[in-house]
Amino acid sequence: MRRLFAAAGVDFEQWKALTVVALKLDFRGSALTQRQGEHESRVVNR
Amino acid sequence: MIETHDLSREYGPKLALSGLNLRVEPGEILGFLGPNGAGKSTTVKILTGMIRPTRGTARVAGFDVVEQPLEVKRRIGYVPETAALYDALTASEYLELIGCLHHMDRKTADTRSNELLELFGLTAEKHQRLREFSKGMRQKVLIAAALIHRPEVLFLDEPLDGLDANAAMVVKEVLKQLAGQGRTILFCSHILDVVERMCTRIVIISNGQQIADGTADAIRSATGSATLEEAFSRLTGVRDVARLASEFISALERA
Repeated sequence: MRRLFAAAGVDFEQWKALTVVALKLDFRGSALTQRQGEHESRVVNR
Repeated sequence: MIETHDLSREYGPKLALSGLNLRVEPGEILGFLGPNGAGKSTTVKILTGMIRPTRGTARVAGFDVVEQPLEVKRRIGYVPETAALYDALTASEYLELIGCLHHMDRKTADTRSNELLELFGLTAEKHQRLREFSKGMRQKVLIAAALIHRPEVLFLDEPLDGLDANAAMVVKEVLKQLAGQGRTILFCSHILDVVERMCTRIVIISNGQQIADGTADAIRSATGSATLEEAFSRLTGVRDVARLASEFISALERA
């Protein structure tokens, strides 16, 4: 895997670190959006 | 060490930086000053490998910034004037990411991250998301990120911006000790009394050109000024601040 990345000129360790962060941001971002959505719907339902 | 020769950069027809010749030795803290739009950030962006010069050469830590940008980036720490952090990460996770990008092993990155967060009084907040941090707390994280891999050369663009007096004192002392260890520091700031007290040498640029180079004392005496602030005003074009202020107030009163 590392060799494949190296052949493409991509640093595997950096790619892995950034991918983990991108996934965290994605999940946390959608969790936040979902919570905000729930809050908004509660406000609307009052 | 930082070394530039005839370093220039054009943005279309505008010459942002013109023929800068600079040499900053290990152990030096160079105050890099200039009015807004003088070319300071352009210089720093070239030296950190973010943009290319249109003419001239620059070497940082012994490597050419155009030919060997990765070697340069491995050896530098950079605190930008404005930075976007990953708001959904915690301070600890952000520093872990920076450690990974610098190929540090996890244990060393963890140890240094904890040390730096403790230094800046952020231990209790290290598992909080960065979106919950104040401007000063975010600035501390940025400084910690610039130091975590123990770089040879540091580029600091307004590093004390947003910091409280205690944190600013800590940063100034850390920088002095890093310079004492032989690291090279380029310090951009508009707070001239801080620059005067901290920096071993000062370079002033205006309209993309170097207009002064020397110690604060040398620049003051060369311009016949009592303070560095006065010398800066004389060199960069604002000669009669009191008259300008009076004219402004008169204009306001007339309106």
